[in-house]
Amino acid sequence: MATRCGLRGDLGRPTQPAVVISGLQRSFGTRAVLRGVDLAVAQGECVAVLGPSGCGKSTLLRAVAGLDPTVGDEVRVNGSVAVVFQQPRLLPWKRVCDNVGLGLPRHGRGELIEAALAEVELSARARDWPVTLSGGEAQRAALARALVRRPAVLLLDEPFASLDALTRLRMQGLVLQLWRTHGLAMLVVTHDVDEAIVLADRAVVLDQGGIGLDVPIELPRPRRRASSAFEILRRQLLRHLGVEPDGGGVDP
Amino acid sequence: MIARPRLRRLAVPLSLVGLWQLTSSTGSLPDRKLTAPATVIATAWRLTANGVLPHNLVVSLGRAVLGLAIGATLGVTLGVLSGLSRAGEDMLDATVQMLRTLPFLGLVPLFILWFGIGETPKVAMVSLGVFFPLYLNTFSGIRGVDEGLVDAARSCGLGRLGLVRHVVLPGALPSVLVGLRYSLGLAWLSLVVVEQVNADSGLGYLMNNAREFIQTDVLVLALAVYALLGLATDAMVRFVERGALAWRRDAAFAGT
Repeated sequence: MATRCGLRGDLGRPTQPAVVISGLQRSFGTRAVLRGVDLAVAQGECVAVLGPSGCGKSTLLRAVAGLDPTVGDEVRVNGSVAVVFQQPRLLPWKRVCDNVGLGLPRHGRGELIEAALAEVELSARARDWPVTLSGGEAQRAALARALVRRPAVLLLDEPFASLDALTRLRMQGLVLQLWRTHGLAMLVVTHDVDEAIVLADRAVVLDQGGIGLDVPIELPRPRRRASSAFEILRRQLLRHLGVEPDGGGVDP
Repeated sequence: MIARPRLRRLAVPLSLVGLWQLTSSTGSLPDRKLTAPATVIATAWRLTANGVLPHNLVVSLGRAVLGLAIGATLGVTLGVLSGLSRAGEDMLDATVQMLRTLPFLGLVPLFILWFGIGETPKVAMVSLGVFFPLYLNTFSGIRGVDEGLVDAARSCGLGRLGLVRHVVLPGALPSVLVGLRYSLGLAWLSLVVVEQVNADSGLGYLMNNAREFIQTDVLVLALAVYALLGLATDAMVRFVERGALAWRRDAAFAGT
């Protein structure tokens, strides 16, 4: 398995990062959620953002997605961005294929939709209404809707949190496969430490409105949850999140 | 073979009509108070044959359709305007909300003063009755669209126009159709009132006339026609809903 290009770049020259966040601040009313976050995601790199709920993970992601206005150079993204949210957020009044093709130029749209649905193995449901999809199918449709735009950066906001355990494992495998074939830069927001270790090249912990921990995950892929290296990383991250792995943990 | 639940639903109204006919036939329900169903049917036949009922029905329908077209266009347009923009809301919504509290049927005398006794006050009254439910439901339908869907569509690169077309308006449609249902009810109600106050044709005129000549059969017949019209319009909206809202849970599962 070839190592992905990190910030230094494997080609001997520094590649331009896909996402650069510098000094990002956000507050709701008087409560500061993000107090100057600095984070860069390299081309083709997968970064997991961990943190307890309410720590500003989603706020960070919304800023990168361009859903909230940013000032100046807070967020720079090289190329286009697509988002997969925790809920599939498919438009219920459009068939699956029309959801996937939302906002695409008319020319060549049909083939793009077909290809994207085939990639997530949902071709058979193309003409169905979203309400008839299972949770996993709906999330796969959302994934197709993101990928069909050929984004340089894919943002995932707790993408598997609403799925059952088995579907979640399958989805993680699918996302990894798509990440590899498309050479995407990915930013995955999650509260699931295992998920972060399975997916990411690097895990950062959001803490007190800033990046509290930034650890590379250099385990060979595919990653085995039972390996001791996995366990060591898990303990390290959990401890940083305020949970003692052997019980008696502090509630984050 | 009629399904059992449908049979149960029909049982009570049918027995009521039966009881009505029975009490009329035995003379315990005087014809002057309430004409027997059989007589009403005979009257319906007579007034249809001599053209009186069809003529007045067409006149009333014409008023309802014209009033509905005007009121619905205004209600939906203004509802969309104030639903989509804060400026529109500031300018329109407070005013409409204020006017809404006015019992609009109370405006009949004023409308007669303004518009005379021709078709204008009648159509205007229907338009007014139709306007409010459609405005309110369009407005609240637009404001009720799920923010999450809007965000998702924005992340797909949709601009303001695309959002309105693909997310906001389809999202508001179920609520608009609820508004349409209320509107149709109010359209008939306004028509009954204005046609009885001042008219020389229409179902309301037929009723008013019948009251003066104590023709209870015609009165009951006109009421029955109103009821049928109400039922028919409701069925029409339901038909439209079936087509336009095929994506909803119940419809989507039934259709596949």
